[in-house]
Amino acid sequence: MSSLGALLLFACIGAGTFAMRFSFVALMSRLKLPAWSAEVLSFVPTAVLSALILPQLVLAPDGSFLSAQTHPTALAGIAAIVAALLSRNVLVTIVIGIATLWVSQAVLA
Amino acid sequence: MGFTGGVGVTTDERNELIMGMRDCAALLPGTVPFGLALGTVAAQSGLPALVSHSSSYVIFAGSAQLITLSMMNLESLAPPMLILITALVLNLRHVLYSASLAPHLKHLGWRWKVLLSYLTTDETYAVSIQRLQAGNTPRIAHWHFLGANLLLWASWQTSTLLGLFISGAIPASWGLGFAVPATFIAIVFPALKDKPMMAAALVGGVIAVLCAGLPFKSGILVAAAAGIAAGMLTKHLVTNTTA
Repeated sequence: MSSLGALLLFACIGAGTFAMRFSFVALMSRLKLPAWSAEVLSFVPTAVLSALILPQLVLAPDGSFLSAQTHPTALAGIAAIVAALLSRNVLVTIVIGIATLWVSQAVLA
Repeated sequence: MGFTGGVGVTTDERNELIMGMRDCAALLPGTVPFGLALGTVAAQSGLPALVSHSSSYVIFAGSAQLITLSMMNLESLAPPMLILITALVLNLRHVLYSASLAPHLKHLGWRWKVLLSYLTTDETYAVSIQRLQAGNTPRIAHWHFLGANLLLWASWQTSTLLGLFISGAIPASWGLGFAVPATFIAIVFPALKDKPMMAAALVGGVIAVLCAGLPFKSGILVAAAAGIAAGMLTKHLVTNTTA
């Protein structure tokens, strides 16, 4: 993509994101979200982030599922999930995940 | 609240600002590696450094920048309209944050509202909404939010820029790219407090894997919609059976 195209795309995403961040702050507190929309939105981060995470853990760049190439990543993912649940700490999760990735890459190589 | 010459800041306001920065500082061990990793992804987009880094202040939303820049990867460039829709769907949660912040910011002027809205992130919302809702310092608690936001903004600009320039020096075998899914894992999994959330995560993740072959990464949108639907269905099935 050209630099100009990328800047235009960033500007559109930035403007849309700002509009969402500003929406209710601008409209004051009189307008309340209907209950169903708040409910729908409450699932957005979890559903979207899981959809981002899982393919990265189990799919190789060529799309193959749990191939030898992705075994270390999948193991690191499991370790990171356990670390996240136990520690509730981002740094601990990253360190355990990457350490597991190194170990399993070395062992499985 | 005496006359302070227009730009003056009272001691209470300054204390509130510093407290916000201190609360935000506790989160930097997670956001700085995320920023470094994002800088690495930005370097792979094939764009000039200053163009890809502009996403850090034009968009200023880590997960949306991540999906945007990885969808712009030279090998598999997705259509811009799809990138736009995906990033905005990912950021829809900001409407919720805005609704929750609005009552606490309504006494402020437009400049405050614009600035704080631009700066809102998952992390700073999470640390400051507690302060805002506590109501101990209702007229000045927005200074806490400002302090948290300013520190996160500055550290985000620094870490993404640093990541962009050192990315060539870090071998891929170090696996620092794993910091990104690991950060998301650290955000998602501790938040799986009930069955509806677990259903949303499980269905969203599994459908994303199944739909990974769909053209232009549109599987993420399908998966997100399926995950949200699964969460809503589970919530109402659980409510109906227990009520």
